[in-house]
Amino acid sequence: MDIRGRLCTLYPVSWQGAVVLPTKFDVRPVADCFQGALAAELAKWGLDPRMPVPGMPDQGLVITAQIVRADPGSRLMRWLFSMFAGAAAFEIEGQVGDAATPFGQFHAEGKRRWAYAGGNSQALLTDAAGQAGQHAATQILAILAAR
Amino acid sequence: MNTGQLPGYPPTGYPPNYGPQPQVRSRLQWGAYLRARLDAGQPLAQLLYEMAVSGIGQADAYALVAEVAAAMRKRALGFTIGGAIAVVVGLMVTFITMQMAQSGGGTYFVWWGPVVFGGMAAIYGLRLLSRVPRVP
Repeated sequence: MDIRGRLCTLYPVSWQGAVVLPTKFDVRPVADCFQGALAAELAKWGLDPRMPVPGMPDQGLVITAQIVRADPGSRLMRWLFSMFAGAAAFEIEGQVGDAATPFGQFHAEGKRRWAYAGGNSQALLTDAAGQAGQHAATQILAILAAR
Repeated sequence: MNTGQLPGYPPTGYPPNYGPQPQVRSRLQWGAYLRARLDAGQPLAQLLYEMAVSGIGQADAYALVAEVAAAMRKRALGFTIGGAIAVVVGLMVTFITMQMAQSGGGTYFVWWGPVVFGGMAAIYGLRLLSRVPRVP
């Protein structure tokens, strides 16, 4: 299946039902990072991701995603047991399909465990979201390739 | 005008806005939610009630809790056993090199890192283990 230049409607990631563990920072930019990484990765492989236009029908492929978990982890635990506990994790699930019906599901997770002296939770969670976006794009491409 | 009813009765907006509200979550989201709440020490009964309010059947709820409990137990045992192994290895290296130094002379290693951090990991694992729910 040739996907180069194919239009794709990429819905903003949904927070509905997401498990967001307590943070001392605004987590919305984290979702933006996920969305940016996903769009960039899809574009790299030749898809043409676009935001949905209200009132207009969806074009081409339709990709929706929702956050399962946004966990900033624990700086203390990362400092104590860096590779084993306290990781910042961003997990998402979603569907890919056409305007009529979804034909595939994906589930991706990004984790960041290692940073000097435990690192900064916000930066690590943002990195994890970017990683989840890349993993999600890989899975979407695999779904499209399998069709 | 007296209608014979107390003011504010019957209550509007039933169900009341206290107590758990129905939640729309996917299975993965429920799994993540259960794990986060159980890790934080919330009682299982409360979580089962929340799931029932959200329309999840008893069998599904128990299956989900069992899945989450298995993952939590695996993680907790990893910390406990790994930590204990690190403590034993640290002590063994310390005492073996100490014996060698006493009998033949030379230096010995006090390998305190694995003992201290292994001990902390084992205690953390036991704490995690205490929060794993017992599924009826």
